Amino acid sequence: MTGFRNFWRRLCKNRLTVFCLILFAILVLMVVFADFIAPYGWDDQDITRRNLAPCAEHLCGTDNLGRDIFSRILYGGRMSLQIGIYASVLTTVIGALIGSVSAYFGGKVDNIIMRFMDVFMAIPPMLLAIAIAAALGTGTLNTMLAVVISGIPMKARIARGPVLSLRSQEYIEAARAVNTPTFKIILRHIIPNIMAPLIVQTTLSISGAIVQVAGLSFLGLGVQPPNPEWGAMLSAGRSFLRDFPWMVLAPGVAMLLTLFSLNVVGDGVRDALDPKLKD
Amino acid sequence: MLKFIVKRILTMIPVMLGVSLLVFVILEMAPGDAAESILGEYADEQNLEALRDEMGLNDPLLVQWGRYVSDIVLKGDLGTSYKTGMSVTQSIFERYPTTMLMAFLGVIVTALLGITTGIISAVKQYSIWDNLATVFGMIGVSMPSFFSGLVLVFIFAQKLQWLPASGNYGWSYYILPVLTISLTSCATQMRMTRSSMLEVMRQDYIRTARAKGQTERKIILHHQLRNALISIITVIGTQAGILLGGTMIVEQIFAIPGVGKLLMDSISYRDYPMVRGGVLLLALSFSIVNLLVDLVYAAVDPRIRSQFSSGQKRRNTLRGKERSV
Repeated sequence: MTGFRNFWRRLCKNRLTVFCLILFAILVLMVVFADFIAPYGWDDQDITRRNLAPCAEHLCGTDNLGRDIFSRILYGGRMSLQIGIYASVLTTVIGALIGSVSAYFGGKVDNIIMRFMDVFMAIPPMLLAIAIAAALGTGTLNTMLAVVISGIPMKARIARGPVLSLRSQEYIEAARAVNTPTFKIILRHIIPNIMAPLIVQTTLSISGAIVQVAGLSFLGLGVQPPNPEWGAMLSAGRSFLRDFPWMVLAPGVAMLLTLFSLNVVGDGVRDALDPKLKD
Repeated sequence: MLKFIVKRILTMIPVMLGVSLLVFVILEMAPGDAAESILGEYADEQNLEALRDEMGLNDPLLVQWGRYVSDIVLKGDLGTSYKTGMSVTQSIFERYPTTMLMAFLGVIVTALLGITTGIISAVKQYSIWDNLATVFGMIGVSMPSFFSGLVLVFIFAQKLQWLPASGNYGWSYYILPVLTISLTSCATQMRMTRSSMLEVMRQDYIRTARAKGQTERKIILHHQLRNALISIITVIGTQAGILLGGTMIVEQIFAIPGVGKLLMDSISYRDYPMVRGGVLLLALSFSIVNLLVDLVYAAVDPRIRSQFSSGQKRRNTLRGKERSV
């Protein structure tokens, strides 16, 4: 527990990090309790009140179908954050497993797995995600899958480095000497020791995952309308940009705030967990 | 050095073969097949089967892939578009220069703006400029291109009417798209330059240089920047990948007829030969950029250069890469 308290103390040293942590917490709470906070449903239409500018009744205005943008942002955020967080956790877990198995066995196994990863890494991540999403078809699960697959190789490489040096440590050798099964060595002795960089990687990659999901939806390959999702909302608002800019600005700013707070918190977590990088 | 270049190019061949197989397998998962996209939804089974036979779609996947690769290598033929019936190679290469020009300008803007602001903010650490740059950097990193692009269009094309919003009829049409793709990478570049400059600043040799009375300018440019360059170049390399992947979004926003737009259109028509060719070409461009980055490493860092001429070059270059990741 002292480890955690130490981490927390270091994290709270930076005022910007604390501010962004609170901001992010508020955003998450708003999104989680969207059912209670949102003044309207995500698909409640009122044809008589279309394209309204932001006002007291509609905090962020209404869109071309007369739906309340603020409510849609809240529900859309639920979608974006959910997919983003699940995807980055999944990416890191799978990537770490592949990377540590590869490094632990070394030699031929390592060579084959890493060359395989090289192939994936030869395609720019967004392009790979687009190709996968195009093949699998649209939908929440497929979008998440596309983001996860395109992110795994990078994570595998990051996890591989520290495991390479861990492998020859005495306690691993000791574990091997008493005939511990390999999978147990990896899960019980290796993974816990690379936990710190893994946590840092996960927090840092959530914002990237959210951007990728939103990007896919923006291109029409991710979450489909009428489901609210920030990227999809931006894409829908595009054609009304000139006359009703709030249709783009409102979801965009929501995304900007989320990503900003996530990035600052991610940097803070990295500095707090990894004293080597600290000034 | 020449030996290294040749070797490095040779290692690209299996990777590109792998990429082509990967793209093949991914698109194979897509619903429907070529025969269906050509003959349409309501074609009867007999015609479909005949066309499948003719196109070799009933062959095992690996055989189809082998034919595809040998066509590329021997004839430079990427197949025929299902939609237009035109050669994929020709359609893609018509649009390739536009995309490359945009990505290239993006890299230049990123490097110039990102590195200069990064240096200034590292040299004047904790000054007002540094704080401003840091906050802008953080905002820039958090601003996805599809949002910043729309904001730029709204301000400069629609409200101020200084620049065109879409199309591609001259140099002024490139300004907004290039700004859009380079904004995020600029911020990343700035942050990276700043942190690596700061890291170098505390080194003993900088203190030594200062102690022997070297001018500040020389210290910054010759001692600090040179040593920070490796990580700066790494970022340029990764950003080039992001720029190439990001062209899809930017070309879509600004209606620029490049490879990215072609890819997105082909995806919506399920024109898979075109998608395959486009992805392959962009991946190849990305690999070439990475190759160039590796060569530039050697050019700026004599330590890396000397490894190429000595025995254990490969292992050390890999280590150099990992350090910077």
